[in-house]
Amino acid sequence: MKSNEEFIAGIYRKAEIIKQAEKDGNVIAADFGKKEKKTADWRKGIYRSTPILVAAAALLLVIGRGDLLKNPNAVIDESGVMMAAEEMTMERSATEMAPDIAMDTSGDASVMRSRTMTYQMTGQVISAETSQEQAEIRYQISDVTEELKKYVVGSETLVLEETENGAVLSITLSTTDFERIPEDALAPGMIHGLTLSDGENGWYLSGLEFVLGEIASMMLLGK
Amino acid sequence: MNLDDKDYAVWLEGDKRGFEELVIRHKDHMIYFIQRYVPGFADAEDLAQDVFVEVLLHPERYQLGRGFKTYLYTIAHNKAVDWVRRHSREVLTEEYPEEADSFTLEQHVLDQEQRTELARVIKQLKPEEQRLLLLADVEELSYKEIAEVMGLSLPQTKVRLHRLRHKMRDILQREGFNR
Repeated sequence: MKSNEEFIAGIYRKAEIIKQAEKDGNVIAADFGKKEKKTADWRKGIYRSTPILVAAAALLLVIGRGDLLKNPNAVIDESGVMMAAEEMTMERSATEMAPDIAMDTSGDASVMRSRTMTYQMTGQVISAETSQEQAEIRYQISDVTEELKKYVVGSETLVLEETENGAVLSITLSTTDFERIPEDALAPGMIHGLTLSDGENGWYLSGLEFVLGEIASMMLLGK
Repeated sequence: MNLDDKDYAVWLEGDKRGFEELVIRHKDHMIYFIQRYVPGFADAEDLAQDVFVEVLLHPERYQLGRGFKTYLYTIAHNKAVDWVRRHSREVLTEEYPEEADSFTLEQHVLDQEQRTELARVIKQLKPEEQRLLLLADVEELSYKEIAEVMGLSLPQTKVRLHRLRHKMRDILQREGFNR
């Protein structure tokens, strides 16, 4: 355990290293000594997510959904708010799998086992808004089953609203959650799956790579 | 103006002792909190240092009166989350023994009453629950501040803390404590 003096000296030393690196045109990754080239013109908040977004975009190409990357309706405005109007189809057999592994999107890094259920839905992304902390994606979905309503209503990250034109599913996720998506969650088999899980501490959503792919497509177009 | 803001103001006026006072006041609690994400003591200590580096490099980011502790723990949360993401494979495979430094730190951070009850309970909780417990009971942050630090909504924070209280009560009863 460092003494107060050692601890404070370390802070000043690290700060000096960062200042020097910034002067040289590099940014220091959180691991000291490991340098990354600074990418110009990335919007604030997007820079940190770049690797996962690129991976998601690549995955869309691999699974033959590269069309999403060319979506002419996706725009990003000056404030960083993204909008999209892209027909979406989420295909997954409506099977119940138990037990399965679900990712905890609540902020806990642990991967938990729980009963999971998957649903087949067809929908249209009507809006997606992001800030540095959160992203909210809203889908207009047409085939809302009673069973889905039962699982979505009451959740804080997944909200199903009945509107005049049908139902809207809102998904709210934090940026840190995005960054925690394990590599194997990007498996092609899950790309269209939206998995709702009944966890001990609330509702969990997996199949997030779908959402990521959508955001990646919008960001790439939004430049 | 509270003590933290006074020291911050002293630092902004050019006296680095203000910054150093802030570090000394919060560093042990910061390491203890980060240990709820990062299992090794040395890594937690290193990350806590990085939190203060962030403060040092960006003095303009904190506005006096907004709650320095909330600001500090929000940086800590974000840095720890990044660390876990980068090291997830190692964390899953390595074993981290109880370290003497961790024990010493616990003595610094928790008061006598907390050491008898809270320290006993905390090891039986999930990491996220431990973080909530520390922010609520040791750091005494409000629901709103905890929500800000952890990136949760206010309702989520309230629900989780409510469940946590129930769980703690059950653990303490099982352990023979009566509250």
